[in-house]
Amino acid sequence: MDCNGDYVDSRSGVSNAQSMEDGVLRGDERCFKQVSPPRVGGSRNTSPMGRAGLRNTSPSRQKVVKTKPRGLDEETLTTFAKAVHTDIQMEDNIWAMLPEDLLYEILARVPPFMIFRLRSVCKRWYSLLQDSSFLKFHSRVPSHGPCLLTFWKNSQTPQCSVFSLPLKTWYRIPFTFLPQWAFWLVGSSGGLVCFSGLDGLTFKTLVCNPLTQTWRTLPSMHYNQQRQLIMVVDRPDRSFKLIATSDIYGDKSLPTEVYDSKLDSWSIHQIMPAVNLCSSKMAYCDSRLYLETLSPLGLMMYRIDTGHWEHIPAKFPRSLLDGYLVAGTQKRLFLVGRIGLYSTLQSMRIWELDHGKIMWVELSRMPPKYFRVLLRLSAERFECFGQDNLICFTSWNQGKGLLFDVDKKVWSWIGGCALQSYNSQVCFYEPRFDASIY
Amino acid sequence: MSSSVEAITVLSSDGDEFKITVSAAKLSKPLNWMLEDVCFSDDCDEVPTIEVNSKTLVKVIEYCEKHAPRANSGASDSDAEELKKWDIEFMKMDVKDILFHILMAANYLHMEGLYDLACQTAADLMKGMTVSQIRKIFHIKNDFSSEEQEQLRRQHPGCSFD
Repeated sequence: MDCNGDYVDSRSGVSNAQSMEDGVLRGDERCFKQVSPPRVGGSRNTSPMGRAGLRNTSPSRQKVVKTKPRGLDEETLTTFAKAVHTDIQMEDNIWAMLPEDLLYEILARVPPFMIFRLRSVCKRWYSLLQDSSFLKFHSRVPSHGPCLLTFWKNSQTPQCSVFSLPLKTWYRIPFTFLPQWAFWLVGSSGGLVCFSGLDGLTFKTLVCNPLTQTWRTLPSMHYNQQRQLIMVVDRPDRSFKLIATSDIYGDKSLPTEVYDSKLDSWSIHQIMPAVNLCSSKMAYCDSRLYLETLSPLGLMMYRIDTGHWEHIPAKFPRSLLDGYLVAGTQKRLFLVGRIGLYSTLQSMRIWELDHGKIMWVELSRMPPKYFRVLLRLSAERFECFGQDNLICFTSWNQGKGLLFDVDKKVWSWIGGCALQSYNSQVCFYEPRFDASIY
Repeated sequence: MSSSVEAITVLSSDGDEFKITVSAAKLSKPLNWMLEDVCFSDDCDEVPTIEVNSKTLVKVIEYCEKHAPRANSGASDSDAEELKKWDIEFMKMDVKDILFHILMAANYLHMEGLYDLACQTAADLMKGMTVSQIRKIFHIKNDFSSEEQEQLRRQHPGCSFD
């Protein structure tokens, strides 16, 4: 069961150990130049023999040492070697003397997914790592950076893996707390993850923070019907909202419902004045929700502040086969889609909405070699989702995802077993301990 | 003494003397206070002591001297990038206990940048450790009973106790 998490963790550990070893060797070489005859091979300075080699025999202590701005010069090196004292040999043991607040600071900088491993160190750490004061330390350190979260069910057991883009490593996250009905991964925002599902005949939604392993079911909507949902977290306001638009099956008679975590209730708003929805996902940026529609043609935009729908008559690019709306940073809205009728002529393109001219402007094209690997059959479906000007592509039964950085215009593959499962659902995710489910 | 002083002499906890430039000392509030004391007091012969051992103080001063130009004048992005690389090299040290002392020294001397760097380095070291290695480093005894371990394993499939 836990082979996935352990496998990747240990792999990252290996590379880390190597880089440390590099440091060890270099450090030793520098010292040996000064104080002792060269020794074959480098080793850690833990053995008494190594120490003896470093110890300076001259007792002169009052020597004035000038420090120079660049690196260790010869004089300081001599001092560096001379100043070895017996207490420094403690090495490992010394960390036991670390004051608690400094320990907090270090633990807050450990990759957030390691938290589950660290909790099993001892009872004190277990409670420390759930403590609200620790979570506060955590919110002060810089964000871990974007991750991909994949969710799937393996014989009714919910499974979740997270791929850290900064660390390029997969981590397994326990998701056993999820109730049976949680089936659809609605999405993630500001460290929270939202699920929906049918509990018998009741359509339910829940939010959770995978890192703190906390979750709660949201109150029922006014209309008990399966709906397209989107969740948005407002971090400065410490709140989140869920927007439920029209029925997935095209029933336009249902009003838009908005859940506000501050009120802990759903409110009813305008019915979306559009028919014949495309099946694409919704995109949310700059307090506005966007949806593609065919009648009227273009986009429907919902302003969360006014609670009203507006039509944006942006014509879709010619010969667009299928497309996804993807929210970028700030006001940026992207359209990602396939162009062309015949398989050999197809290509994947990315457009950005020019809000002033109300038209789509082409930004980039997927290189044909990537396109052929991603979609081997022309009829294959692909999934596309984004966060902070990163766009990720996945397709059915494809063991990898393709990532596009809009700002840097760089394409890269994401490999790994967690994307392979045919029924897995994926979204971007930003790990945050301080994201509250209330 | 006048403000034309370019460097001050300080003593480490081991009694060794070190020179630190005035601009570099500005990276630390306590050092800066010390410097003002030295510059403006009549009794100039007194050499202030810093409660940091020599081995650590060499590294701390090295860090200060490297970072001082940027901290005092502000720098371009390319400089910041170069400094970041330098920080990584700076933290590649031969023994882990010096990291501990640097962390304690940075905390004691209120040096935010070095403190952050030392914490991050320690965290990066822990990233590659198993639970039992972490217990050994921090001198912690596994106080979970076998039933509790079993329960934790059930709750958190990613958990490991060794």
